[in-house]
Amino acid sequence: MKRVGSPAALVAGCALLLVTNAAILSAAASNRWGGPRQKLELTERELAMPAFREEENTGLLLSRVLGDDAPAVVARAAFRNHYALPRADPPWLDRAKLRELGFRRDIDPSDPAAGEICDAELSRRVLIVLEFDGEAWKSWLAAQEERLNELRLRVERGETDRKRLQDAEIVLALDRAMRSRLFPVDAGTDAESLLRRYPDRGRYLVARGVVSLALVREQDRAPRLRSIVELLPNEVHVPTSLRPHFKRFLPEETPQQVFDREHKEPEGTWPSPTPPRYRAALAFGRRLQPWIASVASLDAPAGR
Amino acid sequence: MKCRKCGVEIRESAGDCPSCRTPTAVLTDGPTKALLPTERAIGAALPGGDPLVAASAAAQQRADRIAAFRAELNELRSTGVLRLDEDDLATVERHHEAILRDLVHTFDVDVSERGNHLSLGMRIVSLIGAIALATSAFYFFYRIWGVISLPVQIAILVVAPASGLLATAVLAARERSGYFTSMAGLVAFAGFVLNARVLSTILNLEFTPWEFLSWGLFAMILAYAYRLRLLLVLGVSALAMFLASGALCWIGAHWPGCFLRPESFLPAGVLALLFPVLVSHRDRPGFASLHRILGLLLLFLPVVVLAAFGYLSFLPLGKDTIQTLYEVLGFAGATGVIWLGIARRQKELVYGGSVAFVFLLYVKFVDWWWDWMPKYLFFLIVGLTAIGVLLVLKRLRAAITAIGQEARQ
Repeated sequence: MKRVGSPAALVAGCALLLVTNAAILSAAASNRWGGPRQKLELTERELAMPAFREEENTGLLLSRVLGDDAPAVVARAAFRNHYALPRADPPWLDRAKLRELGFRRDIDPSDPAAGEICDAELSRRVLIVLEFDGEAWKSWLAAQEERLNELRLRVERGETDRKRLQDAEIVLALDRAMRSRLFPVDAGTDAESLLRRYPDRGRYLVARGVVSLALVREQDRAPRLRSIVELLPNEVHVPTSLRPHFKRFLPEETPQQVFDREHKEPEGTWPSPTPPRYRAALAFGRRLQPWIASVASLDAPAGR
Repeated sequence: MKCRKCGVEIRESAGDCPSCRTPTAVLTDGPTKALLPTERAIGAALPGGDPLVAASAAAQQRADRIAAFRAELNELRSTGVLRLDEDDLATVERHHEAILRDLVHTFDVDVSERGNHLSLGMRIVSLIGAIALATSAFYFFYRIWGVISLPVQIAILVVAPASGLLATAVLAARERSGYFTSMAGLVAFAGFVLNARVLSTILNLEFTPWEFLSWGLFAMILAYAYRLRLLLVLGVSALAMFLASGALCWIGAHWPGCFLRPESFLPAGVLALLFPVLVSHRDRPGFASLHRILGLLLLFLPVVVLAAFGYLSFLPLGKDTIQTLYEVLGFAGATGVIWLGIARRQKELVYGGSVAFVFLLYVKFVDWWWDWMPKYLFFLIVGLTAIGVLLVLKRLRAAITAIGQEARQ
């Protein structure tokens, strides 16, 4: 009797296994060859912890959060309180820019077929320029303050109830302390030209991402086109050597425990604003793939 | 020679042992052994691969033929068409018993209706077992990866699929039925997918369609080397995903967009249909049929979707024009496939084409009538159509059988 069936297949399978691993490792090595090309110090606001404790998973992935997304804990509270969180439409992502990124069709949101056209428009893989704690964040914050002032006037005129205003004030306070200050400010397909156009490495990052379109239909409002920017990959793995630095920041509750706790809370409960607890240096290599270079709690020296 | 049961000396030509009356064909390795080389020879004569697996397939066919012969013989005797002497009947029965006993002993074939059901059950159990083992490996790795260094992570991720591959190869050489081989193959494939996915995650690499290619090739190696049909399905699916998502990436779009552009699956469907035409699968039972079934699925599913949602097409035409185009293509294509299936006596083409035709018809029924027609009438039409299709399929089946009989004559 033969000891193994089809030895050639065994060899071919092992060879494919090795080639696949070699390809993945060489892609990562070529990215990191020569050290980081871009490096930016971010905080827990931009590199968020998982929302829940995972008992079956000892690994740790931090979510890369953009300014358009509210922190997970705030988003959950807003959902429970039936509060529509404000969204940021990147003003620079206009028709001309969308065309440049590869979106071939001009979509008129009032067209009855706009929804179908939007569904059929393919998301484009592009390079995104991210600005950290810059003008985009300041103008977003200013827009929220203006919105709050308008709401105050409407409450004074008796056009809306005070609860809505209170919620908006709480959410703005949460945004000031917890929302990501990383905003997309430009996009393109050529890394070199984007890096040249945004040379301040202490403020700008060029990262891989995806731009997609969606048609938003809201009650009592005309339909509008919304551009969605996502980063690729949207999570960053924390290497084992840096994991101890994050140990005390890990979530303590499982999804079930969080659900049970929130279920018992009275309606209208919002989380307390929590300042970021750590900062981490996010590095990008030649292929614009990220990795965490160092981490520190915001009251302790950095670990590498 | 000696009787294995009672040890009494018996003559070579004797039908039974004179002492315990057990047929010599069962108790000795005389006449039955002489029957075996036929299967082995069939297996050994097949080009490439492991002759034992092909011999097992031939053995199962032989066992099935004997079962069919017995059933038909009973039918002929009960209707009085055939009258056989009891002694002749007993001789044939003993002869078949001996063959079956040896086939079970050597090739682990299923020899009864109950055995066939048990065999299906064993296949399902082996699939559940394989999924459970793969899930266990997945959870085990996620349980430990946060506390081990990168080199150890990589070592575990490489060793897991390599061990699965080795286990598949070893089991394939020893096992006759293939249940454990199939299980090991699926675990090896899951290990390979885990390896590529987790390593990319650890190193923060985004997912690319090239991963589908490597998964597909690995599954195909396992499928073709060890004749594992489930792995063939996984392999063809992964390669189809590679072609569809790769084309999307090539035009600068994000790969999941292939699900929004059904046409991106059409080339994979054509290739899957053509592959068994270009490459002989004589020594891999069921592979050609599976290729054709998957090919039809990859071709007709996009056509049906586009006949209903024309705006998802790549074509620079109006939505209604695209829908009409795909309706025509769908109905004509399904009819053509049915005709081809009859001409080539390939049941899966006939049934696949029929299912595509009916599915497309039902989609169009919804499109044409759902909004305005009373529901009782709509479902009545659907029911009547099903009856009509059943009648047509019955005639098609009869046609295929008749053509098959003519060909045999």
